[in-house]
Amino acid sequence: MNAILDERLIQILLRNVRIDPDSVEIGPHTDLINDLALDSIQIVNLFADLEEEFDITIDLSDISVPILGQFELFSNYLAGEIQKQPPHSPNETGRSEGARL
Amino acid sequence: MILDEMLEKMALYGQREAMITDGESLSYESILEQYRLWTAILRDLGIRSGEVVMLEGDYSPAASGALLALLANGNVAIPLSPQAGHKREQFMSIAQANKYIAVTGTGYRMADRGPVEHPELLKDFLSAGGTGFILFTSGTTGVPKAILHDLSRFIGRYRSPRPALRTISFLLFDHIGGINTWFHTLFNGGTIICPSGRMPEEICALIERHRVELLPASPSFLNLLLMTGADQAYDLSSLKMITYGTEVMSDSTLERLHDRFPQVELRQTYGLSEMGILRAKSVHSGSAWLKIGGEGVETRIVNDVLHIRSQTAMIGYLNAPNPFDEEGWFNTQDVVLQDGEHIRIVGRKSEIINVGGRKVYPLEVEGVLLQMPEIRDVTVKGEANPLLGQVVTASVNVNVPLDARELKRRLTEFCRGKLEDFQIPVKVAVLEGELFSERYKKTR
Repeated sequence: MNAILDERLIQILLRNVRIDPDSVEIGPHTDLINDLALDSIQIVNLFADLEEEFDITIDLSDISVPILGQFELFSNYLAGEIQKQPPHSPNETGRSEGARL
Repeated sequence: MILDEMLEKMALYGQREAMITDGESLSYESILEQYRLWTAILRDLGIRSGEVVMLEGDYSPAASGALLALLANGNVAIPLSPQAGHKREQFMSIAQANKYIAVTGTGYRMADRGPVEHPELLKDFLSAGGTGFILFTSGTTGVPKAILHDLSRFIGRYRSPRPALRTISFLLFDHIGGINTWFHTLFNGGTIICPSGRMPEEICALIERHRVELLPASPSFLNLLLMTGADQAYDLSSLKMITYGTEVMSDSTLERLHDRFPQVELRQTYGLSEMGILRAKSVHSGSAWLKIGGEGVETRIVNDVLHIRSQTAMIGYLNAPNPFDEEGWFNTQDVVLQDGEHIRIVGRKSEIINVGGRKVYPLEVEGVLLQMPEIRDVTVKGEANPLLGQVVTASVNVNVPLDARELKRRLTEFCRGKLEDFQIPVKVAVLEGELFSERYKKTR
């Protein structure tokens, strides 16, 4: 688990749920569907935000574990996807700084 | 021949002002002089009846004279505006045009393409002695379709006298709306005011200077006009009517237009390159509900889609299958709402977004997003999505510097309560360039 990444993921998750952010505590075993009441359109929005935030592409056919069933799985999957991105050169501008951890 | 009837009417209008171009006023007699001059030029160039001739030019006495001469000579003309010059070769190849004429500021250029083999439909049409013209669809989603119109069938609709106003030829020379402006105005003795550019400032200056009464435009242009406020520096009190067609108008643009021009009648038109411009009557000025009809025109709605049968329809496509059913009905692909005899067009069938089985009309979403002060213009469309089939995306021009992430956050907040969750754009892109084509039509 990466604490900095988890913090950012929680922020993005809370942006996409309808429940009161103060009413829920997200931990490694939080079930994103049942505990956060994510519906299909919220999941699509969540994935779109993650792609934008981390400059990654989420390919659903590549996902072999139930990442929405546990926050820990979700976080591990994203850490792996972010790792796959090529490093950005120091001269590059744009979102690269925010996308790297 | 019906063109003779038009020429006779123009002769009767004589010294009446027919056209204003580059600040110069020209009478109907001047246009007829150009027609006679071009009749001689076509003879000298050896252009025979039954040949297919591309005519490149903008609204001008010379281009008008040349088009009249080609039609009187029994040709099939392909009007081409200079803005579409990059498609010249493609269009000529599709129609297998025999000749090309460009009307320039100082004269003309002509090219002979040598022996050609016309498409079957065109060959049959010419063998039967047909005279007409070919228009092209924009081809934004594929190869442009070549649409063959029979002249006598097409211009029959202009025989009944109608009021002719001082009209800006805003829609281009090779657009069905532009051709309609040209025939309608010249048949009825009105005045065509030719713009040299089509930016809001230029159009407003022209309206003030030449006391224009009718502005036929597209919703994209009218939206741009409102956004720039270009009208505020000019006296537009001569304007009696704004007609809009070519694409669907959002409620918010229509309302703002009505507020800005309360004295001007806002009239929606309905036309398709395949069917021509049909008679349409709005419920009231500023209403998006209208009744489509007119002599020889029938409508029906099948599964929310408008079908039309018209005596003035095209002969057919030169490079696509016959779109008419056995009874002559044409599926417009326009999805409509119906209230008694009135309809409201909500969008092209192909543009409707299906989010997990729920329909999203881009126009409805655009109408809400345009209410955001941060947004100058927006295009909404669908994008394939493995979870929901499609999701809604928005391409936006902004009024203030904003990155896509922040804009999406504000947009989502703004749309809550105004749109359902599945209608709110999932992806937002901030674009620098304009969201419409050179024809002021939204690029989707």
